[in-house]
Amino acid sequence: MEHPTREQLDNFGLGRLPPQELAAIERHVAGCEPCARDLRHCPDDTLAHLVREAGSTVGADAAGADAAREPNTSLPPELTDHPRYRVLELLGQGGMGAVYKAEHRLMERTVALKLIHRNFTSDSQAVARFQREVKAAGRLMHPNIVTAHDAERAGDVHFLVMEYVPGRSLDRLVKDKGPLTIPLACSVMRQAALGLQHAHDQGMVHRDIKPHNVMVMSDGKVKVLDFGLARFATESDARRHGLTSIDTVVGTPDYLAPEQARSPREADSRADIYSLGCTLYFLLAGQPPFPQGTALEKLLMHHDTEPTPLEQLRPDTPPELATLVRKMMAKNPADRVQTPAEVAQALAPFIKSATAQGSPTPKARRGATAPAATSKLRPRGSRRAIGVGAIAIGGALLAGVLLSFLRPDRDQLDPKKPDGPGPVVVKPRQQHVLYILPRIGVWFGDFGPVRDVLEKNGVKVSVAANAKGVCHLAMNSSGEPVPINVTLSPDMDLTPYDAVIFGGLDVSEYRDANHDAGKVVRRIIAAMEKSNKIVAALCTGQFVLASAGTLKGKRAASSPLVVSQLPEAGLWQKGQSVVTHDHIITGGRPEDAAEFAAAILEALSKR
Amino acid sequence: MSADATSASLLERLAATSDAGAWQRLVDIYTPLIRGWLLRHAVQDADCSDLVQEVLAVVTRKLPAFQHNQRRGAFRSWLRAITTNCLRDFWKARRYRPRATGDSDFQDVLAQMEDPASGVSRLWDQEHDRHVTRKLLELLQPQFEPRTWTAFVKVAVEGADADRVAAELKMTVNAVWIAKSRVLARLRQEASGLIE
Repeated sequence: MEHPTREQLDNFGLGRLPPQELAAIERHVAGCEPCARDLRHCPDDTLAHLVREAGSTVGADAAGADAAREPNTSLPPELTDHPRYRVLELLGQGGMGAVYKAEHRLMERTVALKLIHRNFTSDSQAVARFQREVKAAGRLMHPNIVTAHDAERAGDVHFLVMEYVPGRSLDRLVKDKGPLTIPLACSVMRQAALGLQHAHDQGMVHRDIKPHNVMVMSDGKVKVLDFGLARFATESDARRHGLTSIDTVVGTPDYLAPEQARSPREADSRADIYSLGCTLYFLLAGQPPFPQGTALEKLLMHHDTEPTPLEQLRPDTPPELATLVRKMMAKNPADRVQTPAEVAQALAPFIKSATAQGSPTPKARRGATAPAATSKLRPRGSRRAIGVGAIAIGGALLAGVLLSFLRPDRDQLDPKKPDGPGPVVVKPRQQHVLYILPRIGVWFGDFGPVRDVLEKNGVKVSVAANAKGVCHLAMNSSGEPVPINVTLSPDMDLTPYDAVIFGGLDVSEYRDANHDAGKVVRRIIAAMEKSNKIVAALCTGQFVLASAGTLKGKRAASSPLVVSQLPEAGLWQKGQSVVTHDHIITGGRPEDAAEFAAAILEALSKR
Repeated sequence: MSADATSASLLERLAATSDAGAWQRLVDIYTPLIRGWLLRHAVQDADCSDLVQEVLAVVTRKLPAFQHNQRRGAFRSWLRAITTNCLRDFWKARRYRPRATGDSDFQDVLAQMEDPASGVSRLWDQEHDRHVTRKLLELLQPQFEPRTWTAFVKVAVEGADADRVAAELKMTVNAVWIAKSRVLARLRQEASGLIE
């Protein structure tokens, strides 16, 4: 038999031919040295890719599977002798392919070459899309955006030629140095926001903002990477021949906006704001907003769970900054800070205060810090470690830059109005809210975000339960157990309170009219109603009001679980997240917390 | 290896309803997948076994009528739809409480499972493909010579260098590639309709 064609050989390598044909080629291959050599370059298809992934442990999340997958780091033959580019070294392995540092032979310019895995460029349409995205990204010219020079090809290998950035990605920076100082974190994010604003002005959305995609250079300048690629990867996904793209797009959705998980195409520029907020959270907390759980659980948590308050993980966070991050990460795009320019503006005060501060000179401390900064570098690690090679030099400088931002003094920060929802004026007498939670089974999202907004607006919040000590969280709830300030009792004095709020999740003790706790809350609700005070409940907290008959004939926000169990208990308003009827305020779901809190503030302001 | 097993995919053997071994294989492959999925994302342990049985019962009942329409991923989409329907029925009958991840979660999972482009559906697809590949590999291993299998695992799963594998296993590189080709061909055939 003559040598099989390249295509036949590839199909043989993948076991992708009818049995007779396989057998025929097998007989040839058994004794043919050139064919055995050529089989080395046989590309993976979907099945071969899945098999490779099967090597990772069962149930591993995408990040784990990623690590287990041995990257194919051998330089494709098409690039070893490219007429224009001389490849210098491998910088990293990205979701779409390897990234190399290279030199333009003629212009002696250093560039980064990002190879696009064959799986993404399998047909002419995909190639055209890739070229279109790169072309669009190439129009972006901004000091905070990595410039895309060109879409090139060598044989059937497609690659992106882009500006070489000597520096470190933010994930690497935090891995090496821990959470950033507040001024540095704000400076980095401000620059990234400026870059984003430029892109948004040109109609480009990034869709994959995350610490890996933001580079910090040795002089402290920041550049955002990979414009256009996320979209290209997403759209290629439908016709993908491998799973690499899904890993890129939803593999570890630590920074993905809720609406993006639901429907990638619908997400607009405000999805970038959300991701930027998550990235800022990461820089300050040293962990993403939802560090635990499978990829799916993370997707859902972005959708309806509040992350651990930044202040808890990073007590020196100025409240205004924590509020800003929360607002960037609002579940509903309409509730977010709307443009990167506004983000940049809001971040500015936290940077200025520190640069005005005296700080140790870089020189004085450099010797102590630099070795630590460089020694932790792994030779080939971060998926986006563009410019790792340059860090031996850059790291030392960067350490100096970091030191120059040391020690922010909170007192020096510009006083800034809180960014909480609604321009609400609170009356001089401090108002006081009684927040009743289940003793066991608190859904933190029904409480934490509401309390934060109330307290930020000068309202005092006291937590009450049918016990002493703390309220324990429900299984899977984020947050911390909530200390109990007031123990419910039949004869408790309600005059100090302007409102009573019920939060979920497992409020069974209050639902039961024959239970002591059930009796007490019924008395409280009746007393509050009688004195025309506010009675409110969020999500499953509504079970208390519904079972006490409070919502009878009243319009109330629809909470699926409450509605399904007590369909007749109230006039459920489908599609309305927060409903105010007389003095009763109801919120449907934990993600409505901000709006719910705003409605309570508004009602309080009228009292 | 029976002649049957070499000529038809698992799905094709299932279409001939008399093949009890094929049914057992389907149950073996899919029980842990569906169970793991439901436990992590939708229901509490106590309800889970019932639901898994329910899903598999529907699959068993409807599979003969299921026409694999050659579209990639049709089976896993079909299975996703069945699982979604079973979950919704359970929900309506209030035979269980959704896992305590906030009640809105659950409706959202259902809605997302019905939308093939949603993040949940994409994860379902991904987990399905990975799981089924892994399971089928486990089930196919006994059909191969140990040396053939080892060569396959080293080059195709671990991504090891073929020359090194050949030297280690005292075989030619050609034989290493043949081992890879054979196992992949067998896997591809068994998996036909399930993951591609």
